[in-house]
Amino acid sequence: MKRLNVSLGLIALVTGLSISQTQSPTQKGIFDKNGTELRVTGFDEWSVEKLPKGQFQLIMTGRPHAEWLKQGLDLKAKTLEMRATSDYKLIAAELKGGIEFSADKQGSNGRVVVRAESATYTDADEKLVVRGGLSLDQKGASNGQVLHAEGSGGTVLLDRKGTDQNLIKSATLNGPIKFKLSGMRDDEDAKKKLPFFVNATAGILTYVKSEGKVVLKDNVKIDGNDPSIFGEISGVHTVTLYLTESGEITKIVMQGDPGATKIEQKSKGGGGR
Amino acid sequence: MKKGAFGGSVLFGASLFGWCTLSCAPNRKLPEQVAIEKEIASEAKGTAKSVVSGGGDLERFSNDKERKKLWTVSWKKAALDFDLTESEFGGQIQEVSGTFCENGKVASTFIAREGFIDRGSKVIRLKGGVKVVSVKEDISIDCGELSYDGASGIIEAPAGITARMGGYLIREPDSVLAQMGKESKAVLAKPDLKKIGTAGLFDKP
Repeated sequence: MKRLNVSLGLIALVTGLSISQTQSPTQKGIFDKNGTELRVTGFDEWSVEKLPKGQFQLIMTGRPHAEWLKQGLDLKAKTLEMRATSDYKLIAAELKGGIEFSADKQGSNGRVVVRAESATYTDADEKLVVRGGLSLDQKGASNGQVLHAEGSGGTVLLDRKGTDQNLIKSATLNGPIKFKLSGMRDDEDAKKKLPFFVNATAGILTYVKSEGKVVLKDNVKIDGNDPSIFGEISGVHTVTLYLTESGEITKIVMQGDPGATKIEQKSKGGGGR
Repeated sequence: MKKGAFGGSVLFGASLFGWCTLSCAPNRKLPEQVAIEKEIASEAKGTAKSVVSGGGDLERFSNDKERKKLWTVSWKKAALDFDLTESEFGGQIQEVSGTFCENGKVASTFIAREGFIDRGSKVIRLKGGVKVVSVKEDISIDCGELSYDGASGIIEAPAGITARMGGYLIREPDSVLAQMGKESKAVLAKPDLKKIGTAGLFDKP
């Protein structure tokens, strides 16, 4: 028995060595400037071209990871095509294949992460056009608000420099939509914070920060423990969630199809059910 | 080292004298210009000759009517061979420096421990401590070996280059893979180094 254990141990050791050899990280390319400004790692094939006006074009394949440190942008994909200024500020990027696009709010811990099949980003208008099945997450906003949305493509405008905590300036996502908003809200006496969440499915989602509302359309189903919601509601044509700047829901307006039912429940600051 | 080949200040050995006289004959088209500072030994075999020389310069031109300069090279020691009928040099050169040209103009400079020139070819191969520096851009590449094809205007390094663009450094992955005997990807570059990349992405517009 002891001999068997030793043999098994040897087999495990050899197998482990074999696995560690096959799984040892392959040497990948690195493009950086002493770890500042921009760092690209993890690429197999690459091309760097200096364009007119001093711009650079960088194309990397494999599993490149580009960290635009000055701009708070983090890009991952099977293929990254990026254009930058002469001082390596990202102008635009094309992300293809299992992409992950992250943006940080400057001066805060707010972060947006978008995962999808492909995307195009232009920095001038902070516009991310996303194609294919996507998930969008915003974390680090005030009140511990976490926003999660899934869809099949759409457009997200960012606001990395704004003074508020919210990184998303606006978003339009195509369905089928899964939406979840959670965070902390004041109780009735505003003496303590209570957790809340809202879950919804819909055909389309639009969000405009300046208007402070999320609009869900087409066969909306909504549920949650926010006092603005009473029970699970489905088959609604349009649901509008009105939010404070810090992400708390102030009211939810539901409009049925063809509009015969209109339910409006103003929040009185209650806690979760 | 004197430039402007075939100048009177260049010292030629006896075995080269006849070839030079032939090459410098009026109306004869010279495919290239070469200056050899000091001949050490020479050997003739038919129309081909070989010579072990000291320092020298070589300029290689395109074959078309424009005769654009493709590249130039200087060396401190060489074992050269040349063909009397083709009037072209080839051979192994050491402690080399020179230029890569684009449209006849110098686009970059280079240094290397060794160089190889094939007679009748527009390709120069460099080996050992190769460094290429763009003339106009703050871009350079370092590698163990590369070749430059003056006809196609492409620099090709088998693997393991380090490129510097401004303050940025590209350490491409092939150096380790090549040492391990695994597949490695050649890196291509334009002579002015404005574009550098692995073969799979180099031609991507």
